[in-house]
Amino acid sequence: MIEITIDEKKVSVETGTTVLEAARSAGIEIPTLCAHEGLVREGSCRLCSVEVTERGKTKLVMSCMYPVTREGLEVRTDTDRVRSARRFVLQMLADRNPKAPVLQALCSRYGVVPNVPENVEPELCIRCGRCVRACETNGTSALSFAGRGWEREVTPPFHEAPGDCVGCLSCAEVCPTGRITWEEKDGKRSIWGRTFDLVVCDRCREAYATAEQLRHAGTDPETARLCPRCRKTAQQERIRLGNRGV
Amino acid sequence: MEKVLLISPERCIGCGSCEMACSIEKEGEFRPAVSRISVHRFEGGQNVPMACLQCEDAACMAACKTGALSRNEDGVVAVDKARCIGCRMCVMACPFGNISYSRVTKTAFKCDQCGGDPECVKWCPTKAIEFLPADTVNLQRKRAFSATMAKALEEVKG
Amino acid sequence: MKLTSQKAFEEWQALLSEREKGASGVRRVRICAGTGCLANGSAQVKAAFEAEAIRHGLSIPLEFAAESTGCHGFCERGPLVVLQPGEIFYEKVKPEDVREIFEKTVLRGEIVPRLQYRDPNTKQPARTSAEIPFYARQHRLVLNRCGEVDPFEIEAAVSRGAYRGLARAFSLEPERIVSMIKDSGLRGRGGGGFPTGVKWESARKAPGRHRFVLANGDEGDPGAFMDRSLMEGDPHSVLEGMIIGAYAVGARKGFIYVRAEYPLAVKALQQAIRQAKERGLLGRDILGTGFDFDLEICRGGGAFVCGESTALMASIEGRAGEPRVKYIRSTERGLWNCPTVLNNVETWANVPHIVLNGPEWFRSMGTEKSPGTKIFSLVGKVKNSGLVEIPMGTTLRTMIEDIGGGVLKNRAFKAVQTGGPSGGCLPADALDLPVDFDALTASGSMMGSGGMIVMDERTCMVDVARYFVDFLAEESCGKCTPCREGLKALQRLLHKLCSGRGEAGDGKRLGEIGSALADTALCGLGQTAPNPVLSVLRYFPGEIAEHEAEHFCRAGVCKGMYWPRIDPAKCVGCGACKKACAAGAIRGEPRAAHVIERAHCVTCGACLEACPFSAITAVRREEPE
Repeated sequence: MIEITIDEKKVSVETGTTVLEAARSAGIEIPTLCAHEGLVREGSCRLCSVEVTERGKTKLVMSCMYPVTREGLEVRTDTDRVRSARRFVLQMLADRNPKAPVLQALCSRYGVVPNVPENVEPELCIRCGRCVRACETNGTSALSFAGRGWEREVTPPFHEAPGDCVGCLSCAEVCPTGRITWEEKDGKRSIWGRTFDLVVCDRCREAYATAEQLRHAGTDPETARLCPRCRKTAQQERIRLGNRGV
Repeated sequence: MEKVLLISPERCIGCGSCEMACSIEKEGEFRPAVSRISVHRFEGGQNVPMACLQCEDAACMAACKTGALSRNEDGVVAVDKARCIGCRMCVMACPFGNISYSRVTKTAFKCDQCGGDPECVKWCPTKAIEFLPADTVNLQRKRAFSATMAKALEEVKG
Repeated sequence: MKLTSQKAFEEWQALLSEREKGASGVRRVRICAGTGCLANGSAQVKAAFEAEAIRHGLSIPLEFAAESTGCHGFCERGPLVVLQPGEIFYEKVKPEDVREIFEKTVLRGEIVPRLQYRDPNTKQPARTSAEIPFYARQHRLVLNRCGEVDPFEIEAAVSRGAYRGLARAFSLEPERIVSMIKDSGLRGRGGGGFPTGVKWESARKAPGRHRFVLANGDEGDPGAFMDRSLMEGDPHSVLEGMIIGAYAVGARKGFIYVRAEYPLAVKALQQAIRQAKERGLLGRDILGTGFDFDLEICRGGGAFVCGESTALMASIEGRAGEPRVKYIRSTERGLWNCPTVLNNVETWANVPHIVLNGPEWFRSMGTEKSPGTKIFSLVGKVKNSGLVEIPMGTTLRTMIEDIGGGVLKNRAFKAVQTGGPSGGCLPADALDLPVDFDALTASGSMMGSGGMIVMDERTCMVDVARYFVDFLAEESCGKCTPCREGLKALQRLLHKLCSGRGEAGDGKRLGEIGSALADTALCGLGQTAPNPVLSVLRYFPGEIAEHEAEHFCRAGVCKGMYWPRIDPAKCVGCGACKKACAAGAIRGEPRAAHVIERAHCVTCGACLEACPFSAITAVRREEPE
């Protein structure tokens, strides 16, 4: 364990803990956008900045990636430099995505007023890459970033319906702004321009999952014939039979 | 000692107290649909309560790629909500339908034995659900129960 | 023939040097085959020399030899040829000049005066390159073989000392080499200026089964060609440095990352690697020491950001060339998470010299904190464009006025941009700054990899900032918010200022965004990207203010933001402007002062550029005709 100070508070953490986790463990909140507990950190949104002083040098770092490795590290999460860095990042994001609720909330907290430049179409994508990393984590990698600079965007390869997508929807679920939408009706699920025929439960006839999803999860084909709810009922029936047998 | 949730369907009267207790504890509302335990009421007065078996070789855990599902020191397969990315692979993988996904919270949910003090057990009026040390006697009861279940399953498949 | 011991190498080297000396009387011509001279037809010049030799019945190469070499440096005057004996220097040689050169100089030892370099002021001809100020003020240490030897022949390089440092290195303990590099004070020539020895030591100490050494040859700055010339002109110097480095840190595999736009560099390096392997200087059991080291060339796709260390490594690993957050140094976790030493090609090329001559010798050059020399590509509005190697601490003035020969057309100097697109623009007041890492950084610019662009009074500083920000916005990978969105915001403001739509507060906003961007961006590209803007704000606030408040461009560059006006007192009526004007807006009789009709003027600036007497100036739009 290493002892450090965060905003004058003494905090003890394991070596290698990030400053963000250390702060959270001390009840100090730091805003984040691109970080997700289930995903590899990338430190790309640049919102979670804090000031650290180590060996006499003070610098601005991203708390989500900065590891605590030395006793006596001093962290400040609310200095003028930190606040103006966060305001800048929020301004840059909000100017392009003025309607994203997550940004609106942060902007009002930091006193930032979105100002969409001329000829800029408001968007909902902050390029945090959570969807891309979720897809990669799942082992599907059906999404990636394409283009660079201002043109950077999230897309399936060649802007075509992604062949590797299994329709699990985790990209949409981890999206902080609600940019990724999907639809499910008439036994079909559509996302990223691809439409999946859903597998129908043998028992209740409900369309419950994509075949790709079941295959990807390694679901036993016998199990996959039933939806989760009917699997449970079937199990309960077996228990009842078994019990009667006793 | 590790404890196990032991179910005795023959004692269940289908009152649904366990579902109520579970849903109010976990979701703050009386709503059996979000309860981690559920009772199936068969015709003829037979009732079967059912919750996660905390399988030794858990299919849900194997399907999870982010480490959101892991076994805790009590032997319970627990969900770390912060790590869940909503891929639902665990739901697809569980052969017993004992893990579900909430579109509201965007996370998977399942029985976690209330951290060692299950609400369902407390509220069951007939001791159809018990939380007992995983000693030989109880484990034998549980295994015997599984054996008959497996036999019945073979018959059904038959 | 594979060399299997250090002794065998020394014998081979001695033999080659001997042969070189013995051949010093042979009539020879060295023809620059650097990219610039090649583009100007140096290959045809070489062919013409060979044809002449045959025509005169001289046997090649015993009686006459024509050799292609790497860049001689004086690109402005290419194609360049140097004739032996006598080191006679000719410039701008065309194939049709070769017959005369051959008959006079090669056969009779006479000079062809019309092909000699002449001092622009004194008109004195220079017989050898040493007499030319461009060369005289330089110190060619790293470039010592560049332009002197055929880069495709290992024997030529070895006869001039290549791999002697390596042979010496093998008689030292690896730790000793690391401390030599540390003591030498060598700092990264790619721009960062990080002490090379500290890097090596850290990688050597880092735990790990595999270690890598990498050379950064992804030079992408507009107008920069230092690394390119070095790789093309003396690839063995880079190889030798890397083999020594690998031996010192314990690496068995290395990569040279070269941008795909440098095909000649790739070809030269490939050939060098092949020949070094044939001779047992690379590959398994190098010189019989039991040390194995293999080198591979990795071609970049041409993204500027791949010059950034972590992006470069991602690219070698086969992933998208995007930087990653590095709170753990790549000397501990670099390529494939293994300890990695990444140095610029010029840094590597310094290493053999240090090992051979010792750290004290190296420290005797340059300044205390920036020892050694640095290669620059001197370009822009300067008379002598080219490749220049100077001791650190040389002033900008010496570089521009003495080596560079001053500003083109004798116009007034306005600024010099150092450090590539992420460097800054320094004004005339800064000309006496010594060129070293710390002085340049303190002034708001940076050393960078060594690009140096000279600008004259006809350069609009706001437009320059716009140009570099356009470049960087295009090259930003877009991974982090500040660089992706912030550069776009800077770009919008600059385009607004340069098109006469500036508003009060734009300059202030540029400063705010610029400093926030520098503070928050993920990688070096983003952190330094606002430098052109910030340095213009710092040194040329007047021009920003004029663009913002008056919509006036004093340099006469930004369209519609000035009127060109002919000063009747200065105009001699030469008609150059009239000829240059595509809009037909200039009237005037020969030898009488000309006039510009604003009704027809499109403010293209061609007249300002064309006037040889500086009689045309840019005036505010509201000023009378």
